[in-house]
Amino acid sequence: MTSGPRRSKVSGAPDAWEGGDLKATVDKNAGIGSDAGLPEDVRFARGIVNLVRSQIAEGTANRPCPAVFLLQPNARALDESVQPRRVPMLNNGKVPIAGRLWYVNEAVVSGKYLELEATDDDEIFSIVTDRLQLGTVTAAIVEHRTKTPAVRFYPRGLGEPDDMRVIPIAATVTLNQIFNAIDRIHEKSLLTPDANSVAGKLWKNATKCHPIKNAEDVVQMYLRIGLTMAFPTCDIRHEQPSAVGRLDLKIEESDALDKTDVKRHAILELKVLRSYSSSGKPLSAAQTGKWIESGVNQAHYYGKEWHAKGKALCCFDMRQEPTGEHCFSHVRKLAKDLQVELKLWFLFRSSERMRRATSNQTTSGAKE
Amino acid sequence: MSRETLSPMSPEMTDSVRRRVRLIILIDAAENAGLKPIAIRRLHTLAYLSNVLAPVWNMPTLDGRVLKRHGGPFYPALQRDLDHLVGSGIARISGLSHVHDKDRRWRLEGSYSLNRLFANPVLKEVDHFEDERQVVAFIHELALAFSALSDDELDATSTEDATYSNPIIDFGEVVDFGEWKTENPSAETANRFGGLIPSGATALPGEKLHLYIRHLYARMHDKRPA
Repeated sequence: MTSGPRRSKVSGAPDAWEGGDLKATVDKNAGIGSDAGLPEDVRFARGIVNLVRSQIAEGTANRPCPAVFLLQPNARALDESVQPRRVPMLNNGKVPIAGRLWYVNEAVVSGKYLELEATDDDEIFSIVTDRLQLGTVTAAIVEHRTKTPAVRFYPRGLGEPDDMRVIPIAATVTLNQIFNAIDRIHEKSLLTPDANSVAGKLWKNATKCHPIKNAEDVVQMYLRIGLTMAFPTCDIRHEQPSAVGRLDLKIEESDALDKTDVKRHAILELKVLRSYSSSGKPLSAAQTGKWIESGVNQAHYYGKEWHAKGKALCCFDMRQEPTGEHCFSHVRKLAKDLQVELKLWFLFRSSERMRRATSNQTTSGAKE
Repeated sequence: MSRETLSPMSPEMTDSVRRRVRLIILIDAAENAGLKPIAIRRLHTLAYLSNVLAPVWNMPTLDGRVLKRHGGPFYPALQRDLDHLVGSGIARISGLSHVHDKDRRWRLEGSYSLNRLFANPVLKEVDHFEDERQVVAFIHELALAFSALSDDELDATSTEDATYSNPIIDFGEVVDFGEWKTENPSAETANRFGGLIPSGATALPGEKLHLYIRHLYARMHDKRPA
């Protein structure tokens, strides 16, 4: 008979785990994993952009040939005699990437590579789609033959070469550019119930104009995804606790190497305007007015507290009819005094209503 | 029995079944992170980290104690369940061998992967339960953070872990961080990262996991951050 393991006392936090050491780790690595929960292709694209950014900052020498990245964490060999080589801490940007085919996970914190003999684009595509049979795997190509590296993102893989977008490695971030990005998110994912994804439905009963209860959370999710793709070098932080409540979205950007050097681009306060609650209870114009006013004040306080360069109240109008920005009339002066930008996006409760509104606009425009 | 009446955390599910489901989630997460196949020792380390860091994700710990061994954390019950998964065809083992470790015991060496034909239906079923979806999200992020380490570092993780490396606990004794004791220095440390973000922001759980693993790396390399 053997005796079981003895119990022993566990102390509290060890002495060696104190502030300074922890701070050094954070100052070097803040932001990694801040995109947890976002779709894997979005994280992958962001990870590749930040890897290239780190390479530039580190001055890592790359040959003038492309690097191919596949969102395929487990590698396939081209030839049984040459096994892919593993690189931990890939995102620190110290290992040259050009001329290699990389297998990475969505966080792009490590990878495995094979040397690419080919430098010709057609041949590279053919290796992935034909020899490896990985043409449907989400991919990115980092181009080193241009003056500054460029990232070409293929969400549906190299088998669909026309479905490609170039992702900026360095972008200027202003409130106007953020609004432009939200315009695109709105058009693609929010405009009508049909545009919503299966996991992100915003209407409980669109016919009766009843939004879901947590509509702000769902809008916030769409914005986190869209803004991450638009500004991949930024951390789009959500639900940040503050002395005066919870900040909806904060857009900040750290230096590629020195994470203590932070640009606080903007804070966004999000409000959904409703005619009815999710249970069908009518909400008055006065209630909506107060809701908007509270949003202006929140945006101001959060912006001041975070020292944000820009601050905005972003309203997503899920009311019965589009009435334009009249809903802001009572807060225009307040917002101007507090330097809070006001923006409104209308969400139609059916595609048909949206089409009717668009054709009415066209008709009235033609009459004028 | 309907899904509504059979919750994965209900008393009707035995500890063993729960551990087997957790094992499938752990191997799936390791594969998703690029650690396929995952060696026995690393799988037990990942299981340990998923226990000790669960509070960071606001989740209860599945197993709040582990035997401290020279080779790193090892859960005998979990190993039995792992063997059962292999026997039932859900997991596969490769590179099987035996080694004599520092504790003068014969230890099984080998690496595990999932047989997707049988594992995927289990994972699909797990996806129907909100609590289990949270477990999956947590373990997947943990495995991603874990995958940033080199092979040697993956094997040495526990030597620097704030709870496991506690010098007060000798090898052969039990590290208790959630069964009888409530102190959990690992989770405490990870949570402490939350308030240290340079911009003044608060780190979310995913970021804390990555920072914790990066800190283990820094400690393994003379405390130089990664």
